[in-house]
Amino acid sequence: MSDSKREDSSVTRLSFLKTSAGAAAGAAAIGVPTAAALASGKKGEVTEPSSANPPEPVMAYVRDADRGEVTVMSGTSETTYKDRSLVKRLLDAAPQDSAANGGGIDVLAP
Amino acid sequence: MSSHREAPEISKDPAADNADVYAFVSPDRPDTVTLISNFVPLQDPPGGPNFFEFGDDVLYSLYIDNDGDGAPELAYVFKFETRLRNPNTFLYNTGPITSLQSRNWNKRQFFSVTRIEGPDTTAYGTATNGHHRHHGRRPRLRTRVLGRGLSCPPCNIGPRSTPNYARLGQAAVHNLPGGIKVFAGQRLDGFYVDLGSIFDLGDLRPFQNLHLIPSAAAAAVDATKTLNIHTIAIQIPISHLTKNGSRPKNVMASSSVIGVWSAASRRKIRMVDKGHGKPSESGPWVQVSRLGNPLINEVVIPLGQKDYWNTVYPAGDNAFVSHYEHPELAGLLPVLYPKVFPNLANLKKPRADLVAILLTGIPPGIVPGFQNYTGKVQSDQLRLNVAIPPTKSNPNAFGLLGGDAAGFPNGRRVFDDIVGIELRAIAGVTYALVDKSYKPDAAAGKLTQGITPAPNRYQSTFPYLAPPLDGYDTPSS
Repeated sequence: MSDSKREDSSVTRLSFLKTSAGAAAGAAAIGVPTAAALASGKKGEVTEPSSANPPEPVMAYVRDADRGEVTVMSGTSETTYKDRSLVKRLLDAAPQDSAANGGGIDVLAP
Repeated sequence: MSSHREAPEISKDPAADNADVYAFVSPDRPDTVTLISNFVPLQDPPGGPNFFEFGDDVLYSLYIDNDGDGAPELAYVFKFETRLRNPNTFLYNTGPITSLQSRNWNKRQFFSVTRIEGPDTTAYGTATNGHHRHHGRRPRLRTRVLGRGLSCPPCNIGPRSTPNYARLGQAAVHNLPGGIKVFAGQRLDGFYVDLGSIFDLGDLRPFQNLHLIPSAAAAAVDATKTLNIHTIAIQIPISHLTKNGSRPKNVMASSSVIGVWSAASRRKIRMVDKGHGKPSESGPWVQVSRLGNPLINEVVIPLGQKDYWNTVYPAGDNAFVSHYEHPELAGLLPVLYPKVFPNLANLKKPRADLVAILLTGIPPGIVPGFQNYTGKVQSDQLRLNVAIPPTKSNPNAFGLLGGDAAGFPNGRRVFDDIVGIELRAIAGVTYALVDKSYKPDAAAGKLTQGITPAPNRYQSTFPYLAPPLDGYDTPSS
């Protein structure tokens, strides 16, 4: 694959990250299949990753769920949007099994 | 080194760098097995003011495969948390630390230990799309927190700060329910090697008069004898680890063998934000370091695959079998030591001996009265036959090669000379076990580092590695 094609691939294969998500406390990585599906408002379907992580993926994370803030990073830039529908879609897509998946153990220092 | 800084990426991440793994039947509690996994290697004792510690952002795991399928049915996972008493001082301690509860100890670390059970415990915390790699769905795991809020000892600073270090270290040995002991903290590194020599084109000082670039033979240098490390040690009843919950007595029974390895994992995503000193993290745990047999990623796996090897679970190790069958070092020895290894130079067949020792265990019938075979699945694990009792009187640091079946490659004890053992094995000594027509070179059986660790390197009771050296009395050279 040429470098230019690889770059195109990395842009269209969005990966999203949410952290500090307010009501949906905890953190989890979620995948959304294509930018087109996101724009159309259709619910994404769970799919197997078809390739390795791109060299510099476009990343998004929910910064503040209550305020509808989502931050998108691309290359060396990031932009924070107020987009309640995008935030809702991301939270709806977030796995709900954090505790069962190794996220629930507290060291609980005295 | 055993696995200290052995791969490009992990050499830049000491907190997750798994440097050594040990597994042995405890000599003073022979109904238990002691598992030890070391991290944060090559600590120069004076290294303050932010002395060495485990990573609060690292998941440390000890895995046990007790049915030979290459996947672990058990895991003991450790998570750490650092607490400051006083964030307004630069000092690690503001006076002598005389107990683990000392108010003078500013920067403390605590840990939890959790037992995971299931058909593949590498799935713990690693699920993607709700399942785990080739299983199709995530295996059901049972988790049980064995202890939390457990204190690590401080680092050994010096006579003013840590005046009775041995007592501090002993106080950090925690007794858990079910006869389990656990310790996590700084220790003196038990691994010994002439580091400066071995990486100078494979030089062995006692034999360097025979080297391709010769110099007078000299005494070996123990390069790690004044370096500390961070140790996770857990002592567990054997019956907690075997598949059928028994304490096996029959050495030749397959159920007597367990496979052990260790790993460190980091979260998939780490974000650093301007104006915040601490990064935030998200995503599943991703294995970034692992270790079963010593020196494998060090000298068997080639440079271009070392980082990849660290991310692969042992169940996938058949992808690397060619490196075990034709180890680069076996080809180098006859070149670096001309005319010393003529039989090794002519040995072109796949090294079935090394594959057995390192990837499947030694089947019955190879070494009389011994086996640690776990089946055909090739996976890099320390294989321990728990029916073999510990050798209490004059154990041989050359382990099985020295006639002591309680030592490496039957598990690994803290004092086993794994550099010497693996040098001899790679030089062809063990190939004669699988091909009776092969005659090892005379020099192969004499290969040695020439290092005898000092008596204070180890202790006779859990956690078996000695207290760390302090920074005041062990200044940088």
